[in-house]
Amino acid sequence: MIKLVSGDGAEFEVEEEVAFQSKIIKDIVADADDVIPLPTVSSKVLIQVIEYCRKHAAVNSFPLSPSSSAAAAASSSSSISYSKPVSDPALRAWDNEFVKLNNSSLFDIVIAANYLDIEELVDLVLETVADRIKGKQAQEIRRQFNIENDFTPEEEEALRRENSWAFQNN
Amino acid sequence: MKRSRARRTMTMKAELIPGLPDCLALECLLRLPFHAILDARAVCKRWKHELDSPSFYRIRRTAGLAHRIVSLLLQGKLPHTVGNLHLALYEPDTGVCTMRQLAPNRPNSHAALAGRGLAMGRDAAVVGRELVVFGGWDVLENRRSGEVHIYDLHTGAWRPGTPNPAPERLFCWFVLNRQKVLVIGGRDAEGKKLQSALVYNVAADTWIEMLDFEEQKCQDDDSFCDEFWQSKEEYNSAILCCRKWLLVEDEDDVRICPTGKEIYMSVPEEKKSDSEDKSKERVMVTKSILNRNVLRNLRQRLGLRPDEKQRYDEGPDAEFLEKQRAYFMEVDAFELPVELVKEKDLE
Repeated sequence: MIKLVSGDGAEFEVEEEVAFQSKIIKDIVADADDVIPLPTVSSKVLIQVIEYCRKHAAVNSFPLSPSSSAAAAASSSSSISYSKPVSDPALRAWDNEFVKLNNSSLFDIVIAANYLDIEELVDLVLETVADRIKGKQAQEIRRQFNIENDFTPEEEEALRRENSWAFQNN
Repeated sequence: MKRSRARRTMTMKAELIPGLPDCLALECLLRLPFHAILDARAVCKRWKHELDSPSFYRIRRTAGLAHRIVSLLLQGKLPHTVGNLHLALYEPDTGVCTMRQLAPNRPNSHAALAGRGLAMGRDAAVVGRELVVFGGWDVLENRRSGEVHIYDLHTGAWRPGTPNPAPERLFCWFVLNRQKVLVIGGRDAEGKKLQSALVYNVAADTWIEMLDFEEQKCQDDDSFCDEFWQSKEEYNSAILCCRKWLLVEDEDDVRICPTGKEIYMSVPEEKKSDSEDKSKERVMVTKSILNRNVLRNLRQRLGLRPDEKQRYDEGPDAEFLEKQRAYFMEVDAFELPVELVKEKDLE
């Protein structure tokens, strides 16, 4: 078991395979002890991150047939660092539920995940944020992400004229 | 994969997305689909700055976040849309299809052209990040016109190009090395087949005539083909099936030979090992993707999916949409299933 200590002093005991979803923790454990202080991560966020890691550790380790472990060994030996898209539909559905959070919670999670180097979780959140941007007009995007409009009315008019989309009669 | 361009953006105060470090916020923008970028540019100056920078698209490509996009230039047949160009952008990987109206924002282009009896856009090609729209029809003179208009696919802005010196040519184009458009074919006044080719250099905005093009092609086969096509056969077959389909935000090694009904995409097969001789590299040709998915997507787009309804609430009336839908029902060009093409089929 590995003990994680959040910024506000709460301690969490987790199994190795759960904690090792974070490459940073894996590296630390390799050459240090089993109590890991995470001063920049609040316990609220750490709980969510552990929840994610627990789920993914369980799913990833589940099929332990020789062929799949051989495949895993082959894929880990390749140097390509792109994270694979989550292929298990059940896990993907779980992920989709997991990210049903407001923007600021998502941001906290992605900052922690980036710090802990949990690539899949970083990808998941960034993908989700991009999904929340696409298909929206500038005004909506600004409102949703609390971004200030620093264009002058003239600049905005020029942009609007450029972005003349389908089937708007003008 | 952490990327930061702090040095360049330090002069700008605001965060890209409040609450998120810029390196992560930029990653979000990099993940936007191509069709979302035009709207995102209008959010604020920092977003516009990022989304207009060439490095943004370079990173997108190298990080594997750029999707292959096929686009089709459509010109309305209905009274509402006559002369209005639309650009359909289709992502084969995700099946997403979106449409843009290409409304030239230059006072001397679209409206002025129409006033002079010119219809825009007889042919087009995508060169790098720009759509080059060639020619049109001079209604008053009843002949082809040689106008060239260049549309920036990232920013939506138009700029004029040098007119084609020989507008009467039947168009058949290729894009060479993401820089130039090669125009071949056509007949002279006596109906004799033209042997020369025209090359339009988009960045330099110049037209150059290559004389005796056919001959040069035959004699100087290797040097010409090496530049762009794998083999003379591929080159020749490509010439036969080249029309209105364009490629946006492509990968360098995908070549596309569009026809009216289908597109042939040739993608070099992944090399088995690095040591393998490059000349043995095989090219896989697929005839694909303009299947009924595209058509359905276009229709859905016109029929408005629920999540897009709000956006178009103040848009056109139901009758207009109905007519548009009827128009696309006529477009039967997409009804081909995905299949592999043998080389002999291409010949």
